[in-house]
Amino acid sequence: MSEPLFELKNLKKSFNSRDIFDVPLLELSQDKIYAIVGPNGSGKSTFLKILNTLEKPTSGTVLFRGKDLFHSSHAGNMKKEMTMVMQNPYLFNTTVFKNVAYGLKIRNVDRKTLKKNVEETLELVGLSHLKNRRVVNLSGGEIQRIAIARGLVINPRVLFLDEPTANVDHPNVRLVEEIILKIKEEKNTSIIMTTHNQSQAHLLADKVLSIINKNITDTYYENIFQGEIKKSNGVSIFSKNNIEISLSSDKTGKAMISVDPRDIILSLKPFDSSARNSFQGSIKKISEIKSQIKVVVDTGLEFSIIITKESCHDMRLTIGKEVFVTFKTSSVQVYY
Amino acid sequence: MYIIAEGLRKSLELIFALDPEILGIVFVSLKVSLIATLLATFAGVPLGFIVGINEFRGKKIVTVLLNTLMALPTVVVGLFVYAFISRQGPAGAFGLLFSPSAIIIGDLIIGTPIIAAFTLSAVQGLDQKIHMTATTLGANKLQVAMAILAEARFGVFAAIIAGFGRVIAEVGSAIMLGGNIKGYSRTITTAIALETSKGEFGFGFALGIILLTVALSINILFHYFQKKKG
Repeated sequence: MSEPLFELKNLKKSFNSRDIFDVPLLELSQDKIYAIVGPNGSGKSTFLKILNTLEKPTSGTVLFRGKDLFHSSHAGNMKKEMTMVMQNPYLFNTTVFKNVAYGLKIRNVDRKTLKKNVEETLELVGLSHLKNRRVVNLSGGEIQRIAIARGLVINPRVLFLDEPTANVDHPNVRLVEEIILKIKEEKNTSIIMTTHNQSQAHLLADKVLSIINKNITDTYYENIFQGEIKKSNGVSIFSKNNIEISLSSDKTGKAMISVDPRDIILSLKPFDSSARNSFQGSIKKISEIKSQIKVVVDTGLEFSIIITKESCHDMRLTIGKEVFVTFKTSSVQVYY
Repeated sequence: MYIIAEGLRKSLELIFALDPEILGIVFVSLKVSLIATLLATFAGVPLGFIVGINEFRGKKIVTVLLNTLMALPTVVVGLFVYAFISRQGPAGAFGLLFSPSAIIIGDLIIGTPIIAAFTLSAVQGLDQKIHMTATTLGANKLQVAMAILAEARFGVFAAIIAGFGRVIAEVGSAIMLGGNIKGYSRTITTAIALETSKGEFGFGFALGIILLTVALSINILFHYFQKKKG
């Protein structure tokens, strides 16, 4: 197995003595697309900025290909192997070409190579026709694609994309997504992106990570509900919209819970098992995510469930069909 | 009324006849102002830029000080520089008093805070993301600073033009330090002051029209760069 791209150990970041995240251990592999999902303010952008050395962690270690990113004599060179495209990218007040060429220019790349690389990268993002235009009156999608090209042209080992489609108009979202997939196919670049869009994360990424309880894990951050936990005969019950979910937690009062969509069993008849949570509902949406199927079932609460294509086909699932969703108390994650 | 009409008629005659004395005065004025602006640019742009991009204790005080110095009374500058370069002054040995160089020193002191304050404001008005954008693309500290300066370029040009506008129209220190010597240290403004006191309105008007034309051109340029900046 090749050396991990990033290795994080006891990484902590706090602002004004408030902890943003606390990651005991995390490894990110090379040549993969990672998507980090989480609600606004969960520290996704800060996490990317730390990996890109734009911000320092409060404590802990970040190893980049085995070397300490913040305390190594090679830190300067390591920084040059990665770049980040911000959520609202800033374009220099000049032409599109000069914007994309910036990274090469400060690396003293000769004019001929610079021109060739810039033109090729602009072609990859489909913006060759804007080459000589000044960066005024561009759409959010065009700005994003220019910023991606500007990062990509230096042929980075890692490309960080912070919410790459958050400020992009709808038709351009698909274009930006296609560019990300194309980068994976054509370039030797690992991509670590943040998004608040679950479907996009699963569509693009090899691995989806979530910021949950200040930690970064590969738990699905989906089926999130806010409600109240009460104790009834020694059993913890979370209630919302007249649905009662059994869970194991010492907490009572207001809480947020999530259920991993891979831990939910979908059946056409009541499922006879030890699982304490089983609800009937109708199918609201069926969509394909990579080689799997995501089914949304309305039981009073909407549950997303991930199943295989074969299961979907065998069960002949259609919109409106009545089904049962079943999961164990241990599948319920409880937050605050 | 007659005096004004007669003055204006004579002034146009002088301008169109390319009167050598008027041309000489305009030349001295432009030379002195351009050199002073150039020197003030070398002092003011780095000063405003460094204050603008760095966070330090006392930054607010420096900013207020620069803004206050923008309104520095030119006669006060004239007084201090006079005391400094007069025969009994510490720099008296250089014999600078009543020379174009003396006017340049005064104009440098008047122009520097203007250029610095406008540069500072141009840098502070920039998007905070420029620094991070250049850094993430691999720029070192100097390259980041150059990227910020490049983005502030229109604001910096506007600052230089504002500085030039102030020094070319300035009269207080020019008359005190230059001595208004004909053909040597007589500038447009000092000549207007003198000719008016002599009742030579035509000559004064001619110089006034030229000065206004210069001021108008400067303002057009200033607004052009301000607009580009925004």
